[in-house]
Amino acid sequence: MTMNVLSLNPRKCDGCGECETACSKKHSGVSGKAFSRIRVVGGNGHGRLFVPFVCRQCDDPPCMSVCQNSAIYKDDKLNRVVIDPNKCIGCKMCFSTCPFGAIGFDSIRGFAYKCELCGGDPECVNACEKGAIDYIKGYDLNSIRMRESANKHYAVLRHQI
Amino acid sequence: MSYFKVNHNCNGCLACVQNCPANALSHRDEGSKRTLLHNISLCARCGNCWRVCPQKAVEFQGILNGQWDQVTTMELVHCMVCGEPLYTDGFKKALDGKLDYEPANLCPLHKKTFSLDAWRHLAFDEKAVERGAL
Repeated sequence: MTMNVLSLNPRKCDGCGECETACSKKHSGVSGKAFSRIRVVGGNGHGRLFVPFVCRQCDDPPCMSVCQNSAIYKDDKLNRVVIDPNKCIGCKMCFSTCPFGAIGFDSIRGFAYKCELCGGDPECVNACEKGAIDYIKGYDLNSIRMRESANKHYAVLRHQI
Repeated sequence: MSYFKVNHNCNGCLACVQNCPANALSHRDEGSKRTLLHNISLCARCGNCWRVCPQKAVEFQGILNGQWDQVTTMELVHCMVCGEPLYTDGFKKALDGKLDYEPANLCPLHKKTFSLDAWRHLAFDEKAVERGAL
């Protein structure tokens, strides 16, 4: 199965935050990190490790299953999960459910927002000079191996907790 | 939750009831007791009761500077790491009912931090680096 995916490489990320600024600027017009869909975590106490976090566009999105107003749907064409701001009632169910903390909440306008891959041309990819974020088109997704890898990742997480 | 208040000067003459243009005041005589009644949803907040009261017993400020009513109180769930209030236990139950797993009580930042710890675990695992996992 081939699809377009946003690929993040923490090894190349130096935590400059350009992606956050670019994202916030594009989606809210605010040059800052307040409304960024992507978030870089790391530094302080984590050595030089920086990891950009953004919506994983889950196969079976928990945010979609908890939404009380069916405002979240899957866009199979771009392989993304989308929140309809006109239907969103601001109950924060998705915000609280997302296992990655990738959904943000705009308390001024009263709806949740998330990465929607900028409709196929992600701004963060253009902003990242280090090449830590890449939008791979026609990626051959080996979902069985990826699922195994994710399970291992999860086992590590459980071990850490 | 009482908006309309009268002080101890009230002698129950019912002048306010007679003069209320919105019929928001009423009374009930029962046995040996007279009770003055007020309905806030009918009240136009015109202040006529306060103006007409011969005893200056109506304390109208309570209606104009109304305080906040406590509607309901429930238990909070906090982030396991930083203690930030996340949601109520009822909200948590609603979430659990819709998912086939129980989400950890973490704020968005600490959800990311747990994932970051996993990345760090991989980063300091040389075998993982050799395998190209990171």
